[in-house]
Amino acid sequence: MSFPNGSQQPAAAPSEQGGVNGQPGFAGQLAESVPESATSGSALVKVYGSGEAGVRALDNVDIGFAGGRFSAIMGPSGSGKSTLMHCLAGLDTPTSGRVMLGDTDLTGLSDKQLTLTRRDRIGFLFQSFNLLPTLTAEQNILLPLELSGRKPDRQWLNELTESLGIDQRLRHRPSELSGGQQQRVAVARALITRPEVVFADEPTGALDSKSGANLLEFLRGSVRQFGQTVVMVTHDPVAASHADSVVLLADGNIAGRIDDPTQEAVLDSLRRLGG
Amino acid sequence: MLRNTLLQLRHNIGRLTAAGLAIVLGVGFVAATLVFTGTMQSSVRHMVAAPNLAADVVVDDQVARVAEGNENDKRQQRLRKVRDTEGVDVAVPRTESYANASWKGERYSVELNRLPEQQALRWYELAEGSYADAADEVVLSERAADSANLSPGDTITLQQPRYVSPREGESEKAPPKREVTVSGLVDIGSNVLTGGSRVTVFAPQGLLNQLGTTDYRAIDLLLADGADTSAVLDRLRGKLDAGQYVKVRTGQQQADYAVKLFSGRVAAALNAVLLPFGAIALFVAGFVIVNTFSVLHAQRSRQYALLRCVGATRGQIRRSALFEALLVGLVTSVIGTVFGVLVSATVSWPLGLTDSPVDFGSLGITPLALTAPVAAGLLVTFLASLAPAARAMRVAPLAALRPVPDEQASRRIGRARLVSAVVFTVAGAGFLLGGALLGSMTMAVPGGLLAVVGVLLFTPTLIPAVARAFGYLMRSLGPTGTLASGNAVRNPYRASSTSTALMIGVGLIVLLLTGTASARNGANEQIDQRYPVDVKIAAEERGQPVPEGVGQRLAALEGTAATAALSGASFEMERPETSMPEGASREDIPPATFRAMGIAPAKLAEVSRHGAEALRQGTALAPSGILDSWGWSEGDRVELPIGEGSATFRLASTDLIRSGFLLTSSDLAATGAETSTSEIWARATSDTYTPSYTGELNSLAEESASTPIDVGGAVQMRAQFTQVLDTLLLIVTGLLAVAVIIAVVGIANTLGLSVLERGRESALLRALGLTRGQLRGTLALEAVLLAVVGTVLGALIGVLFAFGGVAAMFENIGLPVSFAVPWTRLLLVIACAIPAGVLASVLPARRAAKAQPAAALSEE
Repeated sequence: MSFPNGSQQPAAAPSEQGGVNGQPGFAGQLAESVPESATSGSALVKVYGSGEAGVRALDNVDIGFAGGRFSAIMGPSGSGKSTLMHCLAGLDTPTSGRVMLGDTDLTGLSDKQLTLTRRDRIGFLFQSFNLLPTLTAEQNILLPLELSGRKPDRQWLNELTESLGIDQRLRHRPSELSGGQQQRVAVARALITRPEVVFADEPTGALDSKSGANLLEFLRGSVRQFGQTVVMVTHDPVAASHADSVVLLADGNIAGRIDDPTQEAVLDSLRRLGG
Repeated sequence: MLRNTLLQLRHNIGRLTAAGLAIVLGVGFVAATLVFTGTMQSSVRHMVAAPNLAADVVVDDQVARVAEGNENDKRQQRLRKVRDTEGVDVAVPRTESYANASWKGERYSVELNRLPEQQALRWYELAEGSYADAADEVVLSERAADSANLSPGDTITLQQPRYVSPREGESEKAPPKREVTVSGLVDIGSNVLTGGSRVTVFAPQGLLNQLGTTDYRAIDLLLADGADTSAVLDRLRGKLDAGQYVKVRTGQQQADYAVKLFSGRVAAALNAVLLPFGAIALFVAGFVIVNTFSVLHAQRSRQYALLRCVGATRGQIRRSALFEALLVGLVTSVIGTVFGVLVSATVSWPLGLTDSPVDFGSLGITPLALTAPVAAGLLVTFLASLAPAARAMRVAPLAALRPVPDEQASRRIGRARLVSAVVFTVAGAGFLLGGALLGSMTMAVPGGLLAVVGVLLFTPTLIPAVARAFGYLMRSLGPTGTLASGNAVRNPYRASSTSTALMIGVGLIVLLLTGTASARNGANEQIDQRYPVDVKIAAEERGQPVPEGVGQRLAALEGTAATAALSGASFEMERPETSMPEGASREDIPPATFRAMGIAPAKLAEVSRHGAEALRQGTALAPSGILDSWGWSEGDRVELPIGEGSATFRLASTDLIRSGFLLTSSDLAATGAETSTSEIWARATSDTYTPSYTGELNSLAEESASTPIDVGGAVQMRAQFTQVLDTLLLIVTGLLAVAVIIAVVGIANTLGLSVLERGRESALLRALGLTRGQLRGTLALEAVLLAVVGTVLGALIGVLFAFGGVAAMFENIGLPVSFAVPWTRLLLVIACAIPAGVLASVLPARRAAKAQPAAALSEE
């Protein structure tokens, strides 16, 4: 998978603060430096249920992800990593605390405002591809633009689909595509709006290892080439090792950070958390 | 297995709501019909038995009954024979006739019965006031009098309906009119035979004599004390020549006989009319049930596969599915039956069949009325669940181990089905067309039914194709339109059975709309032909002049194009020898009274639609009936003794008048006869039914209450015909509405079940930025699409079938085929599909919009 020399920078990407080759520093920034983060949460608490039966999925989490970087959130099952991502992405509202997307405070937004924010400023990748079966690949990719009534940028569409190798499959419906192809369509859909942040939830979970590796390379490439900000939730150390940094979560708390992670370093930390 | 079935059923109870509602409505309709007709029947039974039970012996005398006007003597003779029979104390002729009545400025038709002098023969109870004892007093039936706002002390005017001469064209004097006082009210129970609303007047014999109402249908007898009933019966039978036409029975026997005569007839006739609509409703409900179980089983396919993995046989799965359906069918059918009983109780009360809306004792709840609807509901549910159960059974155990397939590949229509669909449709359409061309209903009706079966077989291809075509239009509405059109045809079978249900209901309604529009059109053509004059006003009393000022007021009405006053004179004329009935001598037949009217030919051309050119100087126009019965033919020269002398006229037949002769005004004047304004004719600006104009004419007639006038002509005929047709149409549409409502419930059902299936997708769309409003809009559009497709196809098929049926029927009765498409009403029906679709989407859309984007995505 190769990138054309992307002269075009995603317009919405906040690139001043986190350069493409920005020095590897800390992945999770502290709450004080929130404005510099592409997406951040402070004092996030999420409780499911109530009273005795209540489960604290997030327990006072402060976290920020720098722009133009590929970050991963890791942790064992039930550590709260998916909840954290859902809160940051405006898919779910935290019980208390604050979520910022760039300069916007998501916690104060109405459902409609949240929806419009997601539509225009956030991209999503899911484990189970989640393409709409009634739409063709192209219609699926352009859906977020259509929903917001924006005109599709043909050149950007061509660039994306060519680099993802799906430009010949655009007229097909999802049921006629392989798993890898479907996930690449989903990637194109996530990037078509030039979102400020792409949130990926176990994007390689349903792929074979080769397709998975290709996908991660592409995501990494999009960060390098276009300064895209990507936040990925995964439990796969191999996937996590493609990221610039990894935040470890356990029992709703941040349990550690690894910059420039290797598989071994990630496995080590996980083992320590589990043990 | 049984436990599992029950648990599954409990788990999915919410998803069965719509299907349950459909069954409840369908079964409720059937139950309500049966209970209602049963109630009618028991009420009728009571009504026909009661008068007979009051008498000791009843002479059922068909000979007297069919005796004609002049045979009054014969009736009296027979009555005398009965009275003279030994052992007979009292013999009272039972008069059951009709009369025109007026009170408080309004005119009514009432039943006119004899009030016997003997208390024993009064089978009703006095409710208010007293019985009439003078010839100027009457008692009335209580309920109808109450609703007509009449009470003791009020006066009403009675008159026999105008006597219609068996020899057309000959006029008679108006029957005598009497003003009488209401002395009391009697409770006769509820009289469904007259809809419970017509007033029954019980009049003493003296009054009946004055009114000239002398016919009777039976004689009620009271026997002398100690008389031997069977001996009296024998004596009467001998005297009256009892046989086919004369029966002598005891009161009890006569009551039993009358009940037997009526038993079943009323209920059977009503059931025959109403139950087909129940069948249609249940048929449509079947589609909703098929959809529900198809979706339910598809959603459970993994569970079924798991069961198969752990050792359940196919038969067990199938039995479980069928048992579930039967259980649902049983519960909802029982609810539906109870619902139906409640409905019929509510309906029976205002009709006067019961004393209150909760008077269940008076309802005709037969065992059949309770069991048949439940059986019908069970049968429909069972049949509708056969195919889904068969599909559930086919799930492979391996399916449990595979991930859930993303999208079930849409099943294509089977070849056998397609072939039979084509064969049925083509053959049926051929027969329908053939029947239309040859005017054979026996060919057109089965042809139409065959074509319906063909079209129904086609629907799984037809409906998605039409939906896709409409879907292209909806794309222009943006992403919601694109999503909705894609979703609507995702599962062609589901979409087609949803829309088909609506198609059936709408198709039938449109069929009726088109049929009645054509009938109205045909009738208007016939009316135009037979009634060339739109408005004819005459004094109600024959021979009287039209009151002053009526002509001016008629001319001033908006909608009147031209008016003309006709002067008229009466004259008497002897029948020519040649036209005497066989064996009749001149003494038997009195001279006939005719009326000759005059109008200027130019005026006539203004006020008539056709036929004016026949009126010339020296010509007398007469209805063909007179020419025939008097042995004349067109072109004959006949001397008419009008005025002092008599003049000779050339005869021509006309449709302009129903009786008498029409001359030019100058010819009439030349006879020197004394004339008065006999009629006023007018031409209306519109040649179709205009309610406002008809209303104006009626109020014109009411204003002239001092000298009552009659308003006739084509306008009245059109109004009557249109009103009758519209009323019928309204009733039948109301009955079909149940099927349409079920079909709309079906749309909501399909949508609701699809929304559950597409939970993840809805959440994804919300995550990608589809607002709640847009999501609701998508579902509303999907529902509208399904509704519009069903409606448009239904309308199309309804019009086509109506065309065949109307053509065949008109040909059959020998009228020129007159086909009319009621465009406005059709468009209205189609336009109704849009709000109906939106309405059907409300609940499913609310549910879909509730989905939290995150929650739906994280659950695997």
